[in-house]
Amino acid sequence: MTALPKHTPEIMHEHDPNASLLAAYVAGDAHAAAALTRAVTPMIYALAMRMLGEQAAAEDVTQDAMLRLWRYAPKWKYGQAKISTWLYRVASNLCTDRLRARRDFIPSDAVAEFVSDDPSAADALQARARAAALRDGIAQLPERQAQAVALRHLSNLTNPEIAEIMDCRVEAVESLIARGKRQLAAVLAPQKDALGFTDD
Amino acid sequence: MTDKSRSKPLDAALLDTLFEAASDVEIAPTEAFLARLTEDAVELRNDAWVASSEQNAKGASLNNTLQNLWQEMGGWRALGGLTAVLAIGVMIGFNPPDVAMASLEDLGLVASDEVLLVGLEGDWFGFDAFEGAEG
Repeated sequence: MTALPKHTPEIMHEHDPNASLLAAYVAGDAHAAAALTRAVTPMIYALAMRMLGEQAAAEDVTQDAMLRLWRYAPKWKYGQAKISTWLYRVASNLCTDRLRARRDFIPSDAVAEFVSDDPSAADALQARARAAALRDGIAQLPERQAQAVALRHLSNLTNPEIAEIMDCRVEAVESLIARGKRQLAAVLAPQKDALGFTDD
Repeated sequence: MTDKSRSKPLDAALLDTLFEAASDVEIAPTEAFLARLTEDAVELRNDAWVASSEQNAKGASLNNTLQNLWQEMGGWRALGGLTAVLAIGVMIGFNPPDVAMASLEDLGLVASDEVLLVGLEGDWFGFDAFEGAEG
């Protein structure tokens, strides 16, 4: 286990193991940097991929968020916030910035009906089409609703966790998610048949 | 003829189906990407922190210069609010806005209720601008 810098009380890191790694990184431990990267990158990369749908864009967002963490690591206020909370906030803000920029362009037709004899290929195409339709739908939501819906339903975070990330009350998160899902349901309704959802 | 703009909203269960499908997909960064992020950390540790301490030194030097200037010119009250705002603009170039304010207040150059600052939003939470500074 990486030793903590002597000036940092161990109790401050008990609730956030990533903070221990950050402190060790600040103290000069290169292994701590690698360990922290492995610990936190997957979650924000996955969020970015699910919101943006492109590996290059997701990597840009992730790298941007991590660079900010490395750059200001010496000034991290231990015990105030969890590193994962801060990273989710930064990454989701960066994602909604990019989604806002995309609204200026006409979105491509996310649902392309494709006929194939191979059931597995057809299933895979449908899965991609549904994921793309969901992303485009989320992109059309107001930013706070998009963030709340993505953090809840794409990153599977709890409402209290989302409240901390978005710096608001849990009730506000619940409201944002409810409104966001209602709007999403309306936006996706015209594509119901193309998405393979048929009436019983 | 179907008016798509008036389609019945997607059923909540179908929406949940979409969410589950999206979040069930296994997504992981590549090893090469992880290595790149770690390299960033190692490079930044030396470069950025050296630059930061140089900037802090410049900021301290600028504090002294400003203080001398203000004293010679009779203080900020003699020159008015506009000049105080200009001073803050210079300080912000070296420090986050809250530290710039604290520095100028410490110097007695400006009272906090007399200058409007538009600070950096949001992403600063969790970080001390300087040890002991207001978070």
